[in-house]
Formats: sequence, structure tokens, C-alpha cells
Amino acid sequence: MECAVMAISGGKTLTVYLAADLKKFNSGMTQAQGGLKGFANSMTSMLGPAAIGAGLALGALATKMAVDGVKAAMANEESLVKLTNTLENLGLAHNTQQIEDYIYQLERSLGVADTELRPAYQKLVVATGNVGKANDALALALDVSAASGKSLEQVTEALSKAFSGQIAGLSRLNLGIDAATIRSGDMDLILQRLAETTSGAAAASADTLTGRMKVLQTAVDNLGEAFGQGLVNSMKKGTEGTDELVKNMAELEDGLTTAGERAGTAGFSIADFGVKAFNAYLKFADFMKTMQDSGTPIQRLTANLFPGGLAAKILGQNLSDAASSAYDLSAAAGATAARMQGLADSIMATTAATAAFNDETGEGPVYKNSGVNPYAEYLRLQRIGVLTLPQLTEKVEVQAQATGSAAKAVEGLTKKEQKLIDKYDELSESIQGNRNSLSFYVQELENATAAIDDFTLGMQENLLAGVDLGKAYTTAKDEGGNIAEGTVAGFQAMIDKADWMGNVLMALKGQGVDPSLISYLASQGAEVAGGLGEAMLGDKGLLSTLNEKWVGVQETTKTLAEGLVPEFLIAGQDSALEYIDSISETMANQVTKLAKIGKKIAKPIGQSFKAELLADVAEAVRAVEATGTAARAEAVARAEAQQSAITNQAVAQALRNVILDGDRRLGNVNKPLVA
Amino acid sequence: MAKMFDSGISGLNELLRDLKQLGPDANKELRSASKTIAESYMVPAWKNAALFGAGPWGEAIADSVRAGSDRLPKVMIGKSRKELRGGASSTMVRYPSDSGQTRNSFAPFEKTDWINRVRSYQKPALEEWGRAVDRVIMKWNVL
Repeated sequence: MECAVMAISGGKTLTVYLAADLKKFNSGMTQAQGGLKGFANSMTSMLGPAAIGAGLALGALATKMAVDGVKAAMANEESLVKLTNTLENLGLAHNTQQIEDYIYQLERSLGVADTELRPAYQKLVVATGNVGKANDALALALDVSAASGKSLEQVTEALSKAFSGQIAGLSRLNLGIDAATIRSGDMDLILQRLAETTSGAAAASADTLTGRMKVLQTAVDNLGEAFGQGLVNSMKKGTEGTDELVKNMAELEDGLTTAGERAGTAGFSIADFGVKAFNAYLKFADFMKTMQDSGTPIQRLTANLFPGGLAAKILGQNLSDAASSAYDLSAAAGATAARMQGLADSIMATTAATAAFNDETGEGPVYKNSGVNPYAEYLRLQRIGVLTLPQLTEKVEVQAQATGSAAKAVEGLTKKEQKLIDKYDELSESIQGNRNSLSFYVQELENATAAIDDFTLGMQENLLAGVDLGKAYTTAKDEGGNIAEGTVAGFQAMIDKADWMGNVLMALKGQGVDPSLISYLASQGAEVAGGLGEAMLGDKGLLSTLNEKWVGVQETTKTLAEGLVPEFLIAGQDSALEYIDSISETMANQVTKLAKIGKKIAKPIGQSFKAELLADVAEAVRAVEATGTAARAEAVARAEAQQSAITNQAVAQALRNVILDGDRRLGNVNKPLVA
Repeated sequence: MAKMFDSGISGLNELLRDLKQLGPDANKELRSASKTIAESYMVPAWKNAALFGAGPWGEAIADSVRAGSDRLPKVMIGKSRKELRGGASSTMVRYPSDSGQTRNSFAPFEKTDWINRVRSYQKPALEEWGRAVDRVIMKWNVL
């Protein structure tokens, strides 16, 4: 039969494309084939993710990807550098790759981000000084974190302190270990107990649905991080081949470098440079905030790459503002969630209705999902005589009506899906902001709690400084007689003295004596604190005079120390302020230029700009150090010496000495007095 | 070259135009992904349809089905090389085997409509392509 086809001439290769634009697609169709349009429209919803992605290619998604990705990449790089540096300092640099592999494996299996794992590992390796122990401790910390619900950071902080002998933090975590074990300070025993109670918790947690979602989220975050890393790398190459950008950047660099150099040669102390730089920074933050709130997308992107403005805003909020803000955010999140639920219900209803509609219309059961064009099939059936012309007309009308309605339904569904996506994004942003604010204040609260604990511990050690059982025994032995009775009596006397001192200090506190004076008295021991304190309590005039003078002398010496700063130095500071202010002005003047640069290369230049700015500031600081004269350094040192003679540092040092002395006498080196 | 399109997508041209801005590497990756999709979904379906639906010339047509390189998945059917015993090529027999129109040939072609029956891969292939586009955008989009 094949020999019979010779007479056929021509013939072209047929190319079949999976899809075409609807306009092109429709242009080749007859009216009878219009039913395919409905099918095509359903393809639009099927391609939703791609179409949305492409639609946002030059808009919000790109900006979000860039900002999030760059931030993630920067955080990743920062954590990596810190860990590497720590390992080098510990002489464990050769283990870096092994540790990175271990962290990578934990991240992939448990869904804990490497930016969380690295700081945790860093703390543990510093505390243990051993890679193997740190590996085990990190695995244990992850188990404990999963079992207790505490954050990995909290757990590793407590564990690392426990390795150094400070068990108090570990006991506060309520991990179900008996107090005796914790008090024993035996880390091997404590770790064993922890392992017994929490072993496998992290893996079990990761195996739940929530855990798997977390692992997935981490993988997605890593994608973003990789994207950000690529973006940072591309920005590093961003100046290549773009003459105008290079020119503009060079102009910025010149202005900043000149200002930095002039500030450096004018001469001012590093500390004051910090103050002026901070002022400049605040102005810069305002400038960035303005850019974040308005302007073109590239301006907003550039501004978002500078977290300074946002950080300043967060730092400026007080706790009540945060609580109020958190409440508002929660309410907004709740309202958004309700709207999302409504949309979701609506979509479910539309989907069900569409499905029911499809079942009831046309030749659904026969042609549905078969890929066969029903119109073409009707025509074929009519041609071979199965359908009459009126029947064909009727079926085509019914089908056309059905597909038209389905197309509308699908279009409505797509719009609702888009709304749902928008609301989800809105909710995610609110929740993220809420979470960030809360975590910031939780950290502040933890810091405050730790400070209170430290103070309490110090005061208790001061009170216990005179309580020395060994001394009581030695005294009783030296005096002869009944050693047991003598020891108990002597010990009781010491306890009484400590109580007396404590009561006196409490009474002083009740009289409104300055806390720094109370701390100072406590550091002087029971004789001075108790005796002088009692005298002060007995003589209200003495109390108020001493308290007044104590507070006054610190203020006076501070003023004196400031007065010792030479005139030329102040002149230098003013000069420096002027120049540093000029930096911020220069930057403010470059708003248009920044936007122009952004448009030219269609890439964020924030990171490069920031790096240049930091480099220039660092250069200016180095210049100040280099040009500082010996006389000025001497004057500053004298001033600082005067000021620090009776400042809190001195009191703190005295307190530390008392603690060390107490430890030494009790024979409990590095053993806490309070469990 | 005759062209056919499986389905129409609103805004596809705009999408493809935007994708161009992602640069040559991104588009190269999309071409590669599209070719893989075509090889996985379209080529087997078209080969199968030709083999069992195109009558006596089905085998020759099926042998000529191959995936093309484009940002959209595509298959090409028919080659101009004369491979049949009578000197015909697969392009020559492709149309008559479907429509039954013999033109000036005395070969016994019958209308089979086999080309209109090859569409079952559309949905999974389009979904796969959508994911490929998303992946490329996520990977290469910088602004």
C-alpha cells in the first residue's frame, strides 16, 4: 500500500504547540468551535501561579523576593562569618566544613534554619571547646527545645552557661530535672537526665504535619536565601558595563570620601565621632523612611535594603506602644482571617457549583477530560448521519450556553482566588511585623530579668560574705571547749550579722537611699554596711547628707571631667559635626540620582551603596585615630580617670572582688551561691 | 510549516514578553524545561495516536514525532525524508491519513480524525509548564 502514495505531493511538518495566546488561538477557530474558549479560560486559572508570577515579575513579587532574599542571604553570611571566626579563635578551623555539613543535615531533617543553628552551635562550641561535645549538645538542645516548647536560643543559652557552671538559667527552663541534680552542678549527670527525658523529641516533632511544613518552609526560605545570595553577587558585579552608574557612584564616593577625610583631619575623639555619626544616621534614617513610604518601587526597594530606618522606628517604640500595636495587629489579622474564610467558603461553593454544572451540561460524561472537542464531535456525528441538523443546532446551543456560563464562573473563581492570595499576603505581613515586635520586647524583657538576677546574686553574695563555716570551726577549735557547740554558735553569730546587715540595707532602701550607695555599702562588708547604715538610720541628717553628697559627687566629677576636654577638641567636634551633617545632606541630595541609577540598571544598588558608606565611615574613623595627638589622648585619659574613680564601674569591681573573695573563702570556685 | 495549538491562554503573549526580560539564561532554562515536558507528555501521546489511529501509515508518522525546542512545549510531526517504499515522506501522508482527502493520489486514504483525538495530555502538561515558568521566575527574576 505504501507504494501507492507516490502521487501525493507537498506536505509540511506539522508543529503542535501546547498553548497559544487566546487571540491567536481564536483567530483560527470557526464559530462552532467557540466552545474551546471556555476550556481555554479554564486554562487561565490553571496557569494561575505562573501568570501571577509573571504579572509580578516587574512588581511586588520581585521587590519582595529581592528584599527578603537579600536579608536572608546577609543573615546567612553574617552567621557563617561569626561561626567561622569563633572556630578560628578556638583553633578548630579545620572542623569548619564538618560542622557546616552537620548543620546542613540538621536543617534539612528538622526544618530549623541554619541562621538559628549557627549561633546556637557557636555558643555551645565556645562553652565546651570541643566539636564532638558541641555536636552532641546541639542535638540535645534541639530535643529539649522541641520537648519543652522553649526556643533553641533560650535552651542553648542555658546549656552553654551550665557548661560554664551557671546552672540557674537551666533550672528556670523547667525541664523536669530534679533540683538536687541541678544543684549538683554535675554536667554529665544533667545532660544524661536531659537526654533521658527529651531524646528523639526533635525528630518526632519534625515528623508531624506541622513539622513537615516547617521543613518545607525552611527549604522555601533557603530558595529565597539562594536568590538573595545571587542578587548580592550580581550587585557586586552591578557596576560592570554601566558607565552612567559608575559615574554616579563615583560622584557619591568622592563626596563622602572628602567629607570623611576633612572630618578626620579636623580632629575629634572616636566617642564623639560616634555621637555625631549617630545624629547623621538619624537624619539618614528619616530620609530612608521617607523613601520607604513613598517614591518609585526602586526607591522603596533601596530603602528597604537599609534596615536602619525600620530599626530606629522599632527602637523608638516603648512597651505600651508595642502592646497597643500588637493588639491592633491581632485585631487586623483576625478581621483579615474572617474575610479570608468568607472568600474560601465562596470559592468552595463556586467550585462545587461549577462541578455540578459540568455534570449536568453537554455530553459531559462522554467527553469530559477526554480531550475531544465536543463541537467537532457533533459535526462529525452529523456528517455520518447520527445527528440531524436540528439536533446538531440544539446541542451546539446548549453546549455554547454551558461553556459560556462555566467560563464566567471560572473567571469569578480566579478573581476570588487572587483576592485570597492578596489577603494571605496582607495577613502574613501583619503577623510577621507582630512577631518581630514581640520578639524584640521579649528579648528586652529577658535582658532585664537577667540583670535583676545578676543584681540579686551579687547582693546575696555580699550578705553571705561574712558567713564562713570554716572560720567558725577554726575559732571554736582555737578557743578550746566543745567544738560542736562553739562552731554552731559562731556560725549562728555570722548568720545573725548577715541578717542584721540585710535588714539595715533594706531599711536604707526604704528611706530612699540611692541604690548605688546601697551597693557600695554592701560591698564594704557587714561591719561598715551594718554600722554606718545603722548610724545613718539613727541620724536622718547624716542619711540625707551622705546620700546627697554621694549622688552629687558623681555629677560633679563628670562635669569636671568634661571640663578637662581642651577647647580645640570641642572646636574639632563642632567642625566634625558640620562635616558629618554634610554627609547626610549629600545623601539627601542624591535621592533623584539614586532613583536614576535604579532605573538605569533595574537592580537594587542599596547593598553596594551601604558597603561604600560603611567603608567611608570606617576610613574616617581610622583617619581620626591616625591624626589624634598624644596630648589630646592624655587629656581624655585624665578626664576619664577622674570620672571613673568613683563611678559605678568601681563599685561593680568592688562587688566582684567581694564575690570572688566569698567564693574563695567558701572554697566554691565558680559554684553559684543561689540555685 | 503548518501549526496547531492545543489550547488558548489569555495573556500568554504578555507572559512570554515579560519572560524575555529575565535574560538569555532564564529563557534557555525554560526552553529546556519545555522540551522535557514535550518529551514526557506530548510525544508519547502523539506517537500513540498516530500508531493506532492513522491507519496503515501510522508507524511512519509515529516515527517522525519529536519534541522541538521552544519556550512553549511543542512537537513536530512529519519529516520530509522519503522513507516509504513508494517514495512518500511522512509529511505527505500525515494530512490525508487524518482527513481522508486523497487529492490526486490513488492510495486508499480514509478519514480517521486521529489528530483531533490527541488532547488528553493537555491539563497535566500545562500544569507542569506553569510550574516550570514559576520556577524560572523564582530563580532568575531580579526585579
